[in-house]
Amino acid sequence: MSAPASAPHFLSAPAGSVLLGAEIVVRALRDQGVEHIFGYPGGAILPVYDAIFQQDELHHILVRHEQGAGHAAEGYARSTGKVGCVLVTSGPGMTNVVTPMTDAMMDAIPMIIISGQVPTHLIGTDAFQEADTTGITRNCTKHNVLVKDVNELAETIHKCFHIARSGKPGPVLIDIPKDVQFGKGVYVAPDEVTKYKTYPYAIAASDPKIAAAVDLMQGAKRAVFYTGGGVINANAANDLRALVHATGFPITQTLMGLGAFPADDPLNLGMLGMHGTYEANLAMYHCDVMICIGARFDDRITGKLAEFSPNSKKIHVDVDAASINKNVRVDVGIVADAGEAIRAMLAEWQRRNAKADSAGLAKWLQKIQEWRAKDSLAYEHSETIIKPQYAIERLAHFTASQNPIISTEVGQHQMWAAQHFPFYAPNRWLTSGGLGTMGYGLPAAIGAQVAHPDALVIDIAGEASIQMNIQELSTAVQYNLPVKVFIINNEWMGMVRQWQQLIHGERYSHSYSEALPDFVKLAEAYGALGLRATRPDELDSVIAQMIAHPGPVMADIRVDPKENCFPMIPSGAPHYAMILKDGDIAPVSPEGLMMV
Amino acid sequence: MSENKLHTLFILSDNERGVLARVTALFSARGYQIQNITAGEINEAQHLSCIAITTEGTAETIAQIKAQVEKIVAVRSVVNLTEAQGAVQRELMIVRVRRDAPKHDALVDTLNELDARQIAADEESTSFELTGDTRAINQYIARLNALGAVEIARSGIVGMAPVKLH
Ligand SMILES: Cc1cc2nc3c(=O)[nH]c(=O)nc-3n(C[C@H](O)[C@H](O)[C@H](O)COP(=O)(O)OP(=O)(O)OC[C@H]3O[C@@H](n4cnc5c(N)ncnc54)[C@H](O)[C@@H]3O)c2cc1C
Ligand SMILES: Cc1ncc(C[n+]2csc(CCOP(=O)(O)OP(=O)(O)O)c2C)c(N)n1
Repeated sequence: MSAPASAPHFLSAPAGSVLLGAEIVVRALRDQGVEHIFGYPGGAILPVYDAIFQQDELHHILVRHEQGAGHAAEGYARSTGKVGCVLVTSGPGMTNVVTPMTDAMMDAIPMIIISGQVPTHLIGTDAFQEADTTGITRNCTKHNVLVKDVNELAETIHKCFHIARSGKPGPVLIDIPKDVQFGKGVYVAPDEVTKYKTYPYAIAASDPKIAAAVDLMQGAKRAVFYTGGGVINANAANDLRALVHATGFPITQTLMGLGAFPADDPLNLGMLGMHGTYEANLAMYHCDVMICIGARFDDRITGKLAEFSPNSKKIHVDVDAASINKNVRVDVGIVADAGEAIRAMLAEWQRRNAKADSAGLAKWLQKIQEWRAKDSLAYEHSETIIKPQYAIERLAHFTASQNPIISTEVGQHQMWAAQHFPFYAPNRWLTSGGLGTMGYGLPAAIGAQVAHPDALVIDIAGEASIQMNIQELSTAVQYNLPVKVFIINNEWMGMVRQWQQLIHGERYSHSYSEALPDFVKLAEAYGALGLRATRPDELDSVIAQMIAHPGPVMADIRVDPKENCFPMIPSGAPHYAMILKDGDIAPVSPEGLMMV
Repeated sequence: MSENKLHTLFILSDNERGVLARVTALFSARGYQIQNITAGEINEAQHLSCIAITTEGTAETIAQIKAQVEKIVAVRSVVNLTEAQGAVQRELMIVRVRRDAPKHDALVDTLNELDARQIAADEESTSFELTGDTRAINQYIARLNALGAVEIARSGIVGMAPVKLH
């Protein structure tokens, strides 16, 4: 199927050329600036793999399970701000990406998924490896399309990239029957596509809503910024810092928003919500003006809705109009890109030469200082057993100079990482927040490492979660991606055990990680370096060896199996009902019991 | 919170594969009810379709539903016909009366009185069409059913937003 010698290569053919559908796919990706795609081949997508074989600008990373491809694309996207790309075959290839698509949908991650489909004439016949891809993925994609005409292929792909990255970003799936990949059609370049769905973006400093927001901020005595993943999406960390410092108001971030504001800034209260700090949650409860930017009032943030920040005026900036007033009614809703809105607020603040109410603010910061003095992240140290929080603190200590990228799995270790690993810049923190997908961390780390070959990339894992996508260690070895897997091994599905202890009468139903593999041997079996620390005095040298090793490493850190993650606001409880340590009463209401 | 009531949303969309499925999937995924729904192509050259959905909710819920539907890529605009002054809404119903119906003559008299239009007839039955807003259609149905055996089909709402909202 080689092209005639005279025909230009499909990557250099002028727009308007007739190309094979499969060539159009690769060409369109290249023209969209895609350098890496994560995937796994199969019958229905082979023509695209054939086109990939015949060029060297689009690099394909072969994973070991399509779920790995999806999370790798998410890690790639979150660590770069670009669209993450996935290539899979029909049927099981596609269904294996349903979890990452749902994950990306929840966490607003821009992603393109290209799936092969059975040829058009077989659609609907229960053909081999046929699945109703657009039907199955309808609710877990921002948009999806089945392309039936090869002449619509290029335009469709370009439009899908626009959709994936604009407005609230999300996953977009393009399903391509095999006959369309083999068909011939005209290639159109991205700039030839003119009709796009438009999304709200800009807002002027002179907009009355900005004025209303700044009015509230100027009058505030107890203001707090509450910011989230939208600030990362908007690439607006610097603008946020400028606004926070101009006002002098304290700031708390969601799990998804960590890194948007430097951890060591005195105004930073750390994370809020279920496992957030005492000072952050009490500031949310007692504030008189809340400035929410790029966050979505998730139930792990609000706790009991009826008692959520009862006395505050609320400003909410979100690029998604449906996010405003969805869970919490606000006083000023601003539908715009976070960066645009922050810059507009700052411009208006400066134009007015505004000052915060200094007496009010001083009293407020004083109060916050008292809450902070509780030291809610404190834990009991031990000479004999490694405390998980301590392991993460040492990891942060030894990697600080290298500005590492951290991913996590899901569970207690994820929360301890959020609490004890300080972030100073955006796009260095990759975690599955909305869906809470165990198995996210290793492939996400691989995706980030592909995008940043020289960075130190570490997956802070749990021994249960890591087993959900452990096969991707093989991908890391194949591509010599030196990711570090730092397993906080407490032998339990710790987060489940903690809930069973606190809420289910200490009935530990199926939460013990029986029959654990020997992670050191397992790492070695994959061709990676395996390390283990069982005592506190072994920890530092294991971390040092892990960092020094030029290839992938899996470190099995044996920690206190019964440590609980505090602070904790039990599900459905108000912000002031926080458990700070073992033995505190967990006031779980009947409604709270229903929450997850 | 305002009270629960019925609202009809008029959705103008690109006539793409799967738009209707996306709209209904959104309703079921988010737990919104569909009281009735109509859809059809209205401009082939411009690939335009319209969908009218009637759902129940508070003003806040309806605002949320509207914002969610507007996010669907193929959707161009959403107008709440129930709130839009000058919007028009109609339903079509078809009524079939069998010749051997016990109250045949009373049924036909009623239909004539309601200005129903005869659209088909054969040895066994006569069929009529009637249009009106939902409240009128509900009244017609009640009156006809009171007269006994009669077959009825109704379309659901077809509506149009006022010019200034387009
Ligand atoms: C075990 C576990 C425990 C958890 N505990 C906590 C906890 O204690 N605290 C906590 O914070 N979270 C916690 N989470 C995460 C939580 O479930 C949510 O994922 C998280 O709170 C959502 O973050 P967010 O509000 O920043 O929204 P995101 O999900 O990041 O969404 C971003 C918001 O910003 C908007 N947006 C996107 N792009 C832009 C843009 N360019 N401009 C403006 N707006 C934009 C989007 O429309 C959306 O509304 C936990 C998760 C797990 C798995
Ligand atoms: C795919 C998936 N299945 C189940 C869960 C529910 N869940 C949340 S945390 C957790 C335990 C995780 O255990 P581990 O990875 O060892 O982390 P730890 O909590 O011990 O730090 C489970 C089962 C989930 N989040 N994701």
